[in-house]
Amino acid sequence: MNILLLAIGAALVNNVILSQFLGLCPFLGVSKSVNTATGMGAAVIFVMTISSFVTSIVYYGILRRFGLEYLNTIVFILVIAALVQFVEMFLKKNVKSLYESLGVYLPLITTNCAVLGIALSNVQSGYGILESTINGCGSAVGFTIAITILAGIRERIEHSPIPEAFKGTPIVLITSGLMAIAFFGFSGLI
Amino acid sequence: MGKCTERLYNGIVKENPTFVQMLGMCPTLAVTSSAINGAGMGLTTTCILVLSNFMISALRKVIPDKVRIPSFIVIIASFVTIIQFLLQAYLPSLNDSLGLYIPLIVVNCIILGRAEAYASKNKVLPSVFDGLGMGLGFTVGLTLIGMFRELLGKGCIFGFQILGDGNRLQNSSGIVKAIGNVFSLYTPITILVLAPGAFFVLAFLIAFINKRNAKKAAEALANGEEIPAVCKPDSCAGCINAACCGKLTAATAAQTVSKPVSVAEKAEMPKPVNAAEKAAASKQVNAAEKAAATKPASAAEKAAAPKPVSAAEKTEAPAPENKAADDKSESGAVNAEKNETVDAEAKAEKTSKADESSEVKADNNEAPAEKAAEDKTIKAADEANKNLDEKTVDKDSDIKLKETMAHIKTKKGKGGKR
Amino acid sequence: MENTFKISSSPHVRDKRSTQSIMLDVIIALLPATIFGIINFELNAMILILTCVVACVLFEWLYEKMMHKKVTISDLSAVVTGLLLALNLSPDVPVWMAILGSAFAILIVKQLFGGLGYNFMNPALGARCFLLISFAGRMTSFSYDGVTTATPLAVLKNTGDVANVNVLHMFLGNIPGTIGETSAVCLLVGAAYLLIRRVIKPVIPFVYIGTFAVLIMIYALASGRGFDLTYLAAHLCGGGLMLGAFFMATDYVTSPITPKGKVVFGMILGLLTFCFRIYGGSAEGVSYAIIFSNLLVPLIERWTQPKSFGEGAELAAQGDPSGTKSKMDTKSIVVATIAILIITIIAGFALAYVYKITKKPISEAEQAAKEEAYKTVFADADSFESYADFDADAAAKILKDAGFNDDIDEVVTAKSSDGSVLGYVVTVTSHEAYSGDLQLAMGVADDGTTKGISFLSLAETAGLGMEADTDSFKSQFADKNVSQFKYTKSGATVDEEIDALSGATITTNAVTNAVNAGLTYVQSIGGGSEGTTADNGGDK
Repeated sequence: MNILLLAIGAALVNNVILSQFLGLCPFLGVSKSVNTATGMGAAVIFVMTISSFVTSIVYYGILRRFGLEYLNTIVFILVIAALVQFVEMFLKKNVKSLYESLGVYLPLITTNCAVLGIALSNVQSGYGILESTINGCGSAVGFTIAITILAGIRERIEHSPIPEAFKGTPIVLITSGLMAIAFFGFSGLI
Repeated sequence: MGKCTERLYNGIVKENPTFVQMLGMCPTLAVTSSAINGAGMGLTTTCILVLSNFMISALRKVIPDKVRIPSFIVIIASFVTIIQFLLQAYLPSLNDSLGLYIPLIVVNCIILGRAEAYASKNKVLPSVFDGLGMGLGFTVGLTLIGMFRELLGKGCIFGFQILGDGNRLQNSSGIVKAIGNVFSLYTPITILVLAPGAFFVLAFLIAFINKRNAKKAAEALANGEEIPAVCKPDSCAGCINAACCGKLTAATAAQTVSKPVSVAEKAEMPKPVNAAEKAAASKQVNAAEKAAATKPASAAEKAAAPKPVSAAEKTEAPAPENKAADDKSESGAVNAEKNETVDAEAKAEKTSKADESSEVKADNNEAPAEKAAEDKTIKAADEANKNLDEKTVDKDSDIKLKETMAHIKTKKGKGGKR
Repeated sequence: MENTFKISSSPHVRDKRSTQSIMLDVIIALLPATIFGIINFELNAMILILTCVVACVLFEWLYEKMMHKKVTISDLSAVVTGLLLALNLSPDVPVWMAILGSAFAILIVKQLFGGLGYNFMNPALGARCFLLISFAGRMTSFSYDGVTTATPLAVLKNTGDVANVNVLHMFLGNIPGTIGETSAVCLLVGAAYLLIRRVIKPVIPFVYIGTFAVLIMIYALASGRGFDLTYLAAHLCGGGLMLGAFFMATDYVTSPITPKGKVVFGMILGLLTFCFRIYGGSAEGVSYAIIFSNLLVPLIERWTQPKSFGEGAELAAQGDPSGTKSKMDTKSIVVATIAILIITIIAGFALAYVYKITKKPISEAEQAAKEEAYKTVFADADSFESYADFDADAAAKILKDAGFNDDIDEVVTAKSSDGSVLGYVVTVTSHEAYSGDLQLAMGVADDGTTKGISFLSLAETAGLGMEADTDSFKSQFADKNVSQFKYTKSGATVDEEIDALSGATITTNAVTNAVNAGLTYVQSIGGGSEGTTADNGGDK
């Protein structure tokens, strides 16, 4: 039950984008159509779950063991970059269809604040390996929910008579602000 | 020394990361809930920018090209960790308030972007000043936004409460106290220091800047002048994640006017280009595009809407100008991701692909307004062509570009097979 | 009426005349509830209703004039937005707040997106939630007959006992609440009018209320209340359910067009309202449920279309545009790997060195921060030393036996300059806070006097629970010699009592329990007055 609460908390209550402001770059950039949004979301779920898992193992198994916790920033980002490369190569060879749908977005995720941010916050909050993975997966699901919702709305407002100065990023930010207000309803749920 | 001060001015004013280039949005939203946090984050980022620019510039001839990006990341990450230790030891309160966002400086577009765009190509001293300038510009941006949010959201400036009930001014006497009493009537609008408020503040800020840029670009075009620097692609070149970081407005939109290639494409195939732009769906309409008329454009774009694929095909061109595509696939994929933005980086190389797809699209009809637009865009293309020499495009692209321009002209002459 | 508007997918082409007649019907339908609200809440209500309506119309007119658009205030949609906003506000809300909310509703939620027909979120509710977050305290204070009271739903949530609420009153409406939500009967009359006039379709409200009712009954059965119809009736009549279900969830622009979509929408609304009300922090849940479901509408419409959702195939067909065709041969891979390895190793050494240097200052800084916190809660002490006999398990057992769910993290003894023990500083973590955990440090003198408390970690709602970290609240725990504290909402009279934070009972409860836990522990190790064990009198 605790795991479920952790997952819901990560996805809805402390939504990685709307509460923690991580992953804004792809959120604003890849949300123009629902298809690309869901593609990006799927890629993020994939990468974040695996990287949360791997980084927590690396942290507890190697860094903590040798008292090298202070290296976590460097190590994590290298691990994530390598992981994404590896995942991409693996998918390309073995699961071509998945690679074709996700492949475009995978490298984008490497320098994305969200993956590194969640990996770091996992160890900062003292989560064990299972909890880190769940938190990573839940956060990524929250990311997917948010980006899909935004894409749905953006597709709809694409042809709306929005004032010139607001067209583009500003109206998307206002939409995000309204979304953030709506997600506030989930606070206090956990 | 002139170059160094020029770098400072560039970073703080001309290409301010927050207000002009709109980079580093994640920390901007996250830490500007108070002015001190904003300033602290800005100064921390400045330190790291200076240090990493210094190191990368010093090592620029030594680092092999293929591992350029990973090396930059390692260097930047090391400095971030060092700075983090120093903060923990000597400024623990700042460390606590900035929290998770300090290590996240590693993936801040600004640092990687400046390393890529400037430090890796220039000498040490100017690089240091470039880092200093950009960092200070970022600091100014963050502090201003932070001050605004803190003042209206909590009634405080740098932690001192001056608005709202029980403010500091009320503790003194005389006229200050009277002012304090007036100010105490204000109820802080808490949402401004929370997540939704951050989004709203930034939205209005960018809208305001858009408006200013649009005016500037329109004036420049109307006077036949050069597009102001802020709209030129160089200012944003090199940021690896150019598609992200919210940099989807004046800069990239204006590129379609100042970039000869994109203009050529536009003249050749109005439909796919419009589809690509609309698929981006977040381009600010600058003056030239306004001339292209909204009605026909949207009608055309609606017809073209089912074909986002064509736009994607167009941008599949490999090896963009900066050699990043070879190794870390980030940039390469970012270019690919730019099927949604007609990107600056894939400059002349796209012309060949553009020609092919233009043949395919030859049968599209055009609204008369678009024809007028074409004439105007071709004129702008000619002008931009003249500016080619100033750009750091490699020779081949130059030649290809000129070929394309000639190609267009002859096509037009032949009765305009579209 | 039916042939003047065609429900089709956006963009909607709105003929002013037919919009106006629809809006007029909505206004008429809202009249019973409006009039009742004015009678129930008197002058405040009337002022607020007038303010909101006038402000909304004014802002719309101003915006359209300034942006050189056609002025559309005669379609009455701004009037309806103003009216709905006012009906969703507590009568205690000040006029300027209502004006700000109206501006937000009209300018940001509606006009910035293109005006009527282009907004994706209900403007009145978007504004209400905006105000809720911005001014949490004012928006959640409901007074009735001049006294600040809790709404029936809040009472129900706090006490868990239906006997404490008068369901008949909830149906009729003479209860505290927002201006328009109190009278279920008036709202139902209005709803009937709308249904008869075919302005709204019954699908959404009935599916919404139905789903909610079913979930409430399941919950009632599962939580041991049995088949409690009174409980159900209280939930149906209370809060903004009727108002929301019939008047706001049915808004054409922000609800799905497709018939299946409407059903899905209604079900999601019912589920969300249930979750927010039962498991969420506030007693209400309708507003957030509706605006969140508004967000989902484009997706719901998309996924309940008969068209196949197969465009993903196109995306997949784009192939590999990532350009990762790295032409690396073995040699260059080796060179590259070695280069990056060297750089990493050098960086590693540099870091290790800096780490060594800064290790001592870091731990000193941490220690200093702790000492500062201790000094705040135990000003007289000269030095602090870890309490040697601290046994975490024993402490946990003591607390558990006494009925506390808190944890004792750390205990230090506070010593005077000559080394004698003055008391203890205990760090307690409470898991009962509103969001996450709460950690505080408290100083307890040897004779049992609580010297003071200080928060080490507090992440509550701004404006509500966060007010705990103010001197006015914390000083209630300072320099008092009691064995246990109790919080009260009706004004503290004795030392043992502290005033609860308005609108933040959960936080108050968590803090009080944490302090009491700390006191219990200190008493158990022999310091301070022996007193009765935990009974802080708060309800939960």
